Amino acid sequence: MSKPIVQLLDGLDERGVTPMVMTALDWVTPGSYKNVTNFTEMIKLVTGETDDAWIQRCGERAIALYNDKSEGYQRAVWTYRTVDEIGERAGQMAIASELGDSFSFLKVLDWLTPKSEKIQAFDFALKAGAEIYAFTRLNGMPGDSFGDFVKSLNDMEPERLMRMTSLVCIDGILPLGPNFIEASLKHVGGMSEGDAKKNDRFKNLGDALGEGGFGGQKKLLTHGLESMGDWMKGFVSQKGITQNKVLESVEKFAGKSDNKLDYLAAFLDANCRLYEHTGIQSVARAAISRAMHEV
Amino acid sequence: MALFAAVLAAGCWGGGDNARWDEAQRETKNQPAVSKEAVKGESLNEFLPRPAAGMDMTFEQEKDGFVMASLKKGGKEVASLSITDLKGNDESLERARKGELEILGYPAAASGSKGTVLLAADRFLCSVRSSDDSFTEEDRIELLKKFSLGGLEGLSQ
Repeated sequence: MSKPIVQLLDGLDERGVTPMVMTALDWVTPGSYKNVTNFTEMIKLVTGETDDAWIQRCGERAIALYNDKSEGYQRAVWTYRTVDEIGERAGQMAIASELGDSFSFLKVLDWLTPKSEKIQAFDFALKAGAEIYAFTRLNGMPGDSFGDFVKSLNDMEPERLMRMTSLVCIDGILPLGPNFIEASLKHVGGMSEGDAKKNDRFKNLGDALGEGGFGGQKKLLTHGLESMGDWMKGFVSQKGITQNKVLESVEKFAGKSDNKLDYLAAFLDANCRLYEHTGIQSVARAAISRAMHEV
Repeated sequence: MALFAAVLAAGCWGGGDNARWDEAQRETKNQPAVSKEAVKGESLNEFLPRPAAGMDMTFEQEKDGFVMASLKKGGKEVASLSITDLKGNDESLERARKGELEILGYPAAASGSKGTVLLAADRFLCSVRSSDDSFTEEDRIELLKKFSLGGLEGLSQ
């Protein structure tokens, strides 16, 4: 089995690229997200309780629920981790050694390989598809419940809201521009089986993208994007998100980028594990939210 | 002494209290958390109360032996409510039977400072938790009375 949920939370970064990106995106939904990396603290946050004996009972039940594979919580963590795994990690260590107060994105350009718009569009669609799949594992609904998923977008817990904010800003608008949904739909529509085989994220997610082979998976990705499209467009306009504003936020910690957006996206892809990070927090929250009713 | 101080400091920072979860982790590793005899979550849905006028309810989790919904007012969650099948969960069942309250003749109890639970049909734990301070203990008790408690009696037959 994977690591215990207590350890997974404890292993989350408090400093580094991922927390920096989350801080940089805070202006979109100010103050809603809190980077909790301790299980007991997460219980207190979710339940609002302070009695130690009650917290112990609740935590023990949440651990039991997480440890039962058939409950779906472990599968959700796997999905969030897998979508953040990429084949190409060249230069990541070199970049990590540069990270610090004087970090400058332009200094690490040589280590980066920019991705084409097509690959960016696939990645965006795959992350959206993974979110739907993980959602169904967490709440126990069938994998094709797009309606329930879309309804849930209007009232998201803070960790999921941060993940969706990042999906829209970092994976969508930053590399693909304001028409990121249309761009992604166009490229997914033209995706060949050969494209899918070459894409590590697609391969690794496998069954999580649905049954029915490549055709079924492509259909699910398209349907997923279409289902989320209206919500995403509304979110962008309501929050005043523009490519320039996202770029300015990222440049606050990464330094000037000279508008090399494709390199910046490659840098963030290799170094930011926001899906895994907030995904583990979402799973802990879901198990605790159930446990607090059962003790 | 310096080493001792360093260990203490580390203990106070971040994940210092994780040892309290070690035993639960060991005991439940790869163990089922829900009895195979527990009813399906979808069959519990109908026993949750209908939302009052001006309130909206959305289902949050639906798994074997468990269903949970969120009660909203003006788009904001004020409470969450659930039904858990305690079949096979003897420890929780025992605790629920000994509840210090009684609601409509059923054993009930406070769960922490924000929750109230009621045991129906000596098997199903009905729970309401306030997500907002405006939703009081009185509100929780009133809502628990609106669960289909008789229906749950029938389900356990």
